[in-house]
Amino acid sequence: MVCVILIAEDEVLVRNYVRHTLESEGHDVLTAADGYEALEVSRRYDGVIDLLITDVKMPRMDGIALIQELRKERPGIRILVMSGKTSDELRRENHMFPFLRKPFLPAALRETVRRLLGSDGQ
Amino acid sequence: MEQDITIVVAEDRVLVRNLIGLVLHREGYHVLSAADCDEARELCLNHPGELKLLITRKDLPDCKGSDLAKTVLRSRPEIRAIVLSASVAAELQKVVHQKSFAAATQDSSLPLVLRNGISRALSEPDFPSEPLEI
Repeated sequence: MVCVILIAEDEVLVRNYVRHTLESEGHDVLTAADGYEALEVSRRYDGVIDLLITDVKMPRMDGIALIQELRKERPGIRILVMSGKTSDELRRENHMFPFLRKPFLPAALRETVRRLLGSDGQ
Repeated sequence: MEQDITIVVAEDRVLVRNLIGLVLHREGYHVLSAADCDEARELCLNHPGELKLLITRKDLPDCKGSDLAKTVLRSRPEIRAIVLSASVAAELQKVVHQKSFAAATQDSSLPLVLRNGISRALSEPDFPSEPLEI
């Protein structure tokens, strides 16, 4: 199943690593260097975006603010947060999203994305 | 398919960057994208494999595309470089704003001059070793 995935990540090497991993799976990938760019892409992309993968800490607009905005505009979008923080740290900050801790191997990313895309969203 | 060919796109305008990236990906190329010169330099410095082509805009906010291309060429003499002139950059901007963005990424709507430049850079043995402005 080919899906459209939007990546918001300010680290260029991580952004392209994630992109390459998911494109190799056959997905179409849109990328953004921060939350602000991701919102611009989402607002202009008039097709379905199946999944947002976002970093938490980013300049201009962070991942949590991006998720809040995007969920208003695309209620069905699936979310995956990637961060150097632990899931406990994120939970303490009340961020309850599917989560992948950096650094991660391509196999872990592929598996998590497959699982999320096979689900009904949140 | 051209998955073994890697192309770096350095473009600050996020929609144009994604347009070029998605169209080239659908044509089978492996695309790395950078939002500015610093990112492009970092990508080119760290990518473990061969890079065939750098596509950059002439006037990026943090440096000139031709200077970026020359810097990259010093560390990767094998790479070929295309610098998008203001008119091609404007044409790309028009594509992403005049029609549905999703549709634009589907119908291979890159300007002909860019398509020809990519085709030349990837196929001509005597392609200029200096950055080529189109």
